[in-house]
Amino acid sequence: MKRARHKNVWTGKAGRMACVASLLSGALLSTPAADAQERPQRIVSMNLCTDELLIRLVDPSRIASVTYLSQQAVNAPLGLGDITSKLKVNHGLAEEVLMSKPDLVLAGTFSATAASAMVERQGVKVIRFDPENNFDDMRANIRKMGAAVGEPARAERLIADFDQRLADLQAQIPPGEPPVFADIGVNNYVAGSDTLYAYVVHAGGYRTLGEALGFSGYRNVSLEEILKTKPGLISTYTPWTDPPSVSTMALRHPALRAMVERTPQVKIPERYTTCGAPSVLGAIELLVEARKASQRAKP
Amino acid sequence: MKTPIPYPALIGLLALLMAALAFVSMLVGPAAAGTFDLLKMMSDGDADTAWMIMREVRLPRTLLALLEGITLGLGGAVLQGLLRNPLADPAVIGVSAGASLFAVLALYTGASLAFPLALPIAAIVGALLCVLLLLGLAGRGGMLTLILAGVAVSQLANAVSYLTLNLSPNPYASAEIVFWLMGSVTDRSLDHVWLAGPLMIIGWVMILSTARSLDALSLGEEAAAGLGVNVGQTRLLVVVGVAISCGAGTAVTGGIGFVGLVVPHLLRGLVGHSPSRLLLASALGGGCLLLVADLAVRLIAVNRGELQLGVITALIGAPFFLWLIFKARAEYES
Repeated sequence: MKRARHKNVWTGKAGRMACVASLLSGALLSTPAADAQERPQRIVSMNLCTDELLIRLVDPSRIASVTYLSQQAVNAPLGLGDITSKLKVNHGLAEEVLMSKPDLVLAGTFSATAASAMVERQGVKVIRFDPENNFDDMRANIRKMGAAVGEPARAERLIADFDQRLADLQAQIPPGEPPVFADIGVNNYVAGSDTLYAYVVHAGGYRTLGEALGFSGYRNVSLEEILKTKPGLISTYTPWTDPPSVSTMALRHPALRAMVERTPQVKIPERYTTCGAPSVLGAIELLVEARKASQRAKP
Repeated sequence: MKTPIPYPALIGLLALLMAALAFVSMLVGPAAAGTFDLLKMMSDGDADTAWMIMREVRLPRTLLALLEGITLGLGGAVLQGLLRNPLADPAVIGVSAGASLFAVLALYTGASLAFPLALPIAAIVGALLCVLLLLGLAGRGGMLTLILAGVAVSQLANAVSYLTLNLSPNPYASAEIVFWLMGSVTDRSLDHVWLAGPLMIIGWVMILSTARSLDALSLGEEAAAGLGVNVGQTRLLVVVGVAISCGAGTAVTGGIGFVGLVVPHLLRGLVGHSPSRLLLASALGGGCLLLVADLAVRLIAVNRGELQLGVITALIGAPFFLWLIFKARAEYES
């Protein structure tokens, strides 16, 4: 039920209808001609994370293309699969972006830098977004995007809805010291403190394995270090097991498997923690559910 | 020929050194995990976890370093003896690259999942094809041809490996080029030991059985045949033995260079230049070198995981090898 309501807020038909309705009422206030002049109508996003914010803030008809990544099943933003699959895509190449004659290009500060610079030299407006390291960064980026695409009101509502849902979820977390959530990535890649991932995990009522081991940022840790910890929740899930690779097969080490088997598990789609965007609610929801389940399991 | 140290004493010392290094290897953890943390854990009461880590993580890595070191030392010594070529070594003549290529093909296509031994068997086939190709070429051209052909075969096999890894839809595959080129025993499991260990030992037995024929072969093939050595059979045993042991090793540790090349040169003087005596000495020496290299890998903390073994064996091996070359030249010129 909770899940259904959540979907409503972000993606359900009712939610989208409401968005469209507000867009229409906004459009009615200004003349259509002025609208076409002021607001970009052929927007290209060259970054996975700007893809999601763009799709949530503007009508699909104004999106010229998003990255091909957003159309991959593993990268589908929370609840936006239907819309994303109908959009045109780009591969971060200057040539294809220019050919789509965009009036605004959104890019990441660190991704496809050569391509976005080239697009800029051709006189196209490029706006770059820093990666989000926490929820405040995310709110700032949503506002920045809202201003860039001429949808400040929708940006504010997106933030308010996010904060509302976040508060709902936080209220459900059982009291007590947050247990350790060991999300062991490929090559034992683990998140420490002061990362977007850590803030997502905190919002879900846990702390990260890297914080328990005492480092900030991301690191590859040795298997020995991992085996010494006693996490309350664990994940070794990766979508990249077929075809196999040495790195993903390492997650099947017998000692690690034994640890996984005696610990409650969770599967969080990678995409829910890649970007500081409302998709993180998908991860937080799964973590809060796991926390509640472990509370129930206690005698 | 006079030797600085009696042969049994040399073998005893090397065996003792290898055992000591293996023991140290069981005690030393990766720098990031706290080098001597496990000992503290044992006294602090969490002995179960400490023992589990020793059994499941350190034992396999120690055993694999030891087994692969022996395999490479033995492979280098026997190839140098058989081909009477000081540059012969599983890595130089392309056996490791061939084994890597077939292991890569089997692993990243998913074929290795068909049955448990599929991966090492694929690598052995790759190694065998490489050795046979080289022997065919060497039969006609002599020493230089063999080395040049080895370089060509290595490069070709490596290129096809890279291509396979780059074409894999798995995003982690390309980064694993380093593993297949440089090798590693980090965080391998006992499953890997069981997969490769028995095959490696079969290869060793085949190689060691040729010891006496190798001595005769050092006089030249015709002289050896005159002494009653079955040259064709010796050659076959060496080729298949090297392919099986190096192929199985490469399948689980990746390609590790320099051990097979350097170790025989280090020990040749100590065994009185006898190819048969060099086999056992070089095997133990290889085990020692790889254990030392793996200890270094653990103690040098790097931010992203660990260094690859081949980096250390080359860092230790290359300067030493240069020194040997200059020493040999000085002796020759004086």
